[in-house]
Order: sequence, then C-alpha cells, then structure tokens
Amino acid sequence: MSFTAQVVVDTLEFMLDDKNSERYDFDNDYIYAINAALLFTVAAFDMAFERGLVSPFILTELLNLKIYTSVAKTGLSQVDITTDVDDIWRIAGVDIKPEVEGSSPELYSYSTKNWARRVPWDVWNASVDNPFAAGYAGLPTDLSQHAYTTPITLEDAKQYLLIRPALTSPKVAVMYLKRFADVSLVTSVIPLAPTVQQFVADKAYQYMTVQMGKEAQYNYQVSENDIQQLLLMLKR
Amino acid sequence: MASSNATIRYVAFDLLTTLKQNYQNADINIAQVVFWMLLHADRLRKGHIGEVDSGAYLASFNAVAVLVDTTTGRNYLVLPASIYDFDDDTGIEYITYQPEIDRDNPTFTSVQFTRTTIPESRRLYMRDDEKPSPDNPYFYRVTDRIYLLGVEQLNILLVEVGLYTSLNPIDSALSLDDELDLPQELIPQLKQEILSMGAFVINMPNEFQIEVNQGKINIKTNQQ
Repeated sequence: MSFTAQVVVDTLEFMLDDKNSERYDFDNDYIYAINAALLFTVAAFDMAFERGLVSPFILTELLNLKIYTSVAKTGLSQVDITTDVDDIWRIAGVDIKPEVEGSSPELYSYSTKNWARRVPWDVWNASVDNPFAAGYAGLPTDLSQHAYTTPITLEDAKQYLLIRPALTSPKVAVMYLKRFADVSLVTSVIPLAPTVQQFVADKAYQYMTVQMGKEAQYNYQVSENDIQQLLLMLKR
Repeated sequence: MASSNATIRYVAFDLLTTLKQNYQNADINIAQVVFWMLLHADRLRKGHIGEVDSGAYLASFNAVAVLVDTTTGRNYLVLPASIYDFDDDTGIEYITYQPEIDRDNPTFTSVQFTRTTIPESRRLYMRDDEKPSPDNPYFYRVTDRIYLLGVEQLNILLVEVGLYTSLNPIDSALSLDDELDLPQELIPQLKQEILSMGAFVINMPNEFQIEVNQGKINIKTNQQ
C-alpha cells in the first residue's frame, strides 16, 4: 500500500486555503514540507520501534529480505552488509538458520524458530556474562537465543552486523526496512500505509506554517502525542 | 525417574505466557523462566521426598568408582550427582558393595554401608560388634566425597549407591522436552510460587523508580 505526493498536496491546499490561490507551489513550498514531514515520520517510527510499541514488520510496504553468508570469528559471526547499507533504514529481523531454496539467487523459503534478538550496542557486552541475556554462549540449545547488533563499521571500512554466539551455519537471512526516496514530483509514491497520509499532511502543514510565528518551532520535536497518533492511525 | 507427565516445555511456556499477559513489557525469557522453575521445583521435590517414603525419586548408580586419597590413603567415592542435603545424610539411601563377584543376588542386597560421622566414628572402634569391618562397613560424608570405613583391607573398585538427587537448573544438556521431574499434583503450586515471585521481581523496580523520581523532585525544589 502507498499513496502519492499529490494526495498530500491536495490535503495541504485545503488546510492552507490554497486552492487556486497560487500562494504556494509544489517545487518551492510543498516538496520541502512533505520531505521534512517524511523525515519526521521516520523519526517517530524509530522512537516507537525503540520503545517496543510497534514492530518494524508493520511497515510491510518497506520490508525487504536478503540472504547473506556470515563469517565466524571468535565468539561471534560477522555479516557484511556493506553493499546494502545505504538501502537499509532499519533491521527488522535476523534469521540465523534460514531455510533457503535455489543458489543464484538464494530464496528465503521459510522461517524457523531461529530469529535473533536485536541488542543495542550499549548493552552488547552484557550478554557475555549474563546467561539470561540474548547472545549468551553457554546455554542449552533449547534455551539459547542469538543476538545481533545494529550495523557497525569495522577497521576494514565495511559495515557489519555482529551476531553472538558464533553461528554453526553460515547462512543468515536479514529482513530490513528499505529507505524510501525523497519526494521530487507530485506523482512520487510514498510507500507508507494510506492511514499515515493525514499524519504526514499534518506535519507538512506545521512545517509550512513555521513562518507564521516562532511558537510553531515546538513542532520539530517528536512528542509522545505524535507517536500515539501515528500508532492510532496504523491500527485503523 | 519422575511420575510427572508434563514436560518442561509445557510448564515453562505456560508460566511465560501468564507472566507476559500481566507484564507485557517485562524482559523475561524462557531461559530465566526455566531457571526459576527448576529452583522452585527442586524445593517442592525435596519436601515431597522428605515426606513420602517412596522409591519414585530414588536414583541408582550401580558402578561408582572407589578411589584412594593419595594423601591420607582413605577410600572414598565422589557423589555422581548432586543430592538433597537431608538430615543424617538420608539423601544417600544406600551404599553397597558385592564381596563376591559371582553372587547372583543384586549388589544392593549384599553388604550395605552404615552412615556415621567423623566424631561418631571414634566410638565405633571401641566395641567389637560395632567396629568397622568388611562385613560391617560405614560411610561418612565430607562435601561431595563419601569416605568408606572398614573396607581398607579390600580392593573395592566399584560400589552401588542409591541417591535422592536434586534437579540441576544449569544442566547444559537440558531439553525442553524432558519431563519435569516433579509430582504432577505439585505443578499448580509451582506455578503459583513462580508467578508470585515474578510479580514481586517485576514490581520492585517500579517501586524503586518512584522513590528515585521523588528524590529528584525534592532536589529540584531545594535548588529553587
């Protein structure tokens, strides 16, 4: 599901009473406000993801999946995602034992129970000693859970996902949210659920009305209300 | 082995599901639930074994090596598994050895060791009818070692022991499909205990957090 920039422009023209007024135009006004609103929406989603309020899998339009071959190191495995890192907005899931079919390309067949758990960098080392943290190496197979980090650049200037404990099977399926391109035309497609379009239009409206007074600047902050509003729209 | 039919998987995921229903944001995983479960199950199991005279939970090890302490020359064996620390070492149900290899009787029907302690053992040597001997051997426990008295002149290589072993919450070979080695009628009590503990553990940080926040407010007020 998706919607076009034209839909947002139509809404903005109504909100700004700009129908046939020629006060605003797409190239000089709307395009910047819509792209800023989309950046804001991405930030709001990121906060919701971090808080565990919603899963990245909810944005089905942006989900992509790729099979990688990991390299085992001492205590962990590295997945080189350098070639795709510019395409990745956020890692949604890492399957450490994917069932694949074919060889070129390898196609993800189905998921097993082997999804790793995302662990932020600041607590990445906690799992070394904590048997109840994902990524701990000493648990029985039935109780263990692998952990993966957010992408990191190592000394060879490549971007990696790190997975702990080290994998016995090198294949890894990474499901991620794709970045979406900036709006450049009124026909540009915004790959988000149509239920979000009013949220984007509201934020674009706020950006366009910045010049109306400095009190409008509080709108640059992602508030609790923004996140709740976004989640409410997605539940519709 | 156990009389319970429920596996660790059923009980653990039942607990995890119940905890998650009440505390959706709680960071509890199945490894932690299984750890709690086995600790509590072990306590209930110990109580059950202590109350009921039954062989349901008696574990028999029929070929435990007898070793010689290189420093003292004393015969001993190492407990092959962790056992309940019952009064008078009754976690050890029996220790036997077979004096004649060709005997048809099972080992446990042959010579049994009698439990003693280091302070009591001195008195045993004062009476002929109690004196430790191959026909009347004794054992005493020191940590995980069981020392043997009265068989010093024999070359015993193996003994059979019957033990009330405890559950191992950190067993590296644990499988979720293992039976939970606990009387099934105690599983509801197990669940209740763990849910009570879970509620306590989960709630405690919130209470602590409220106190911290209140402290911050007070500091701000004083500064103003």
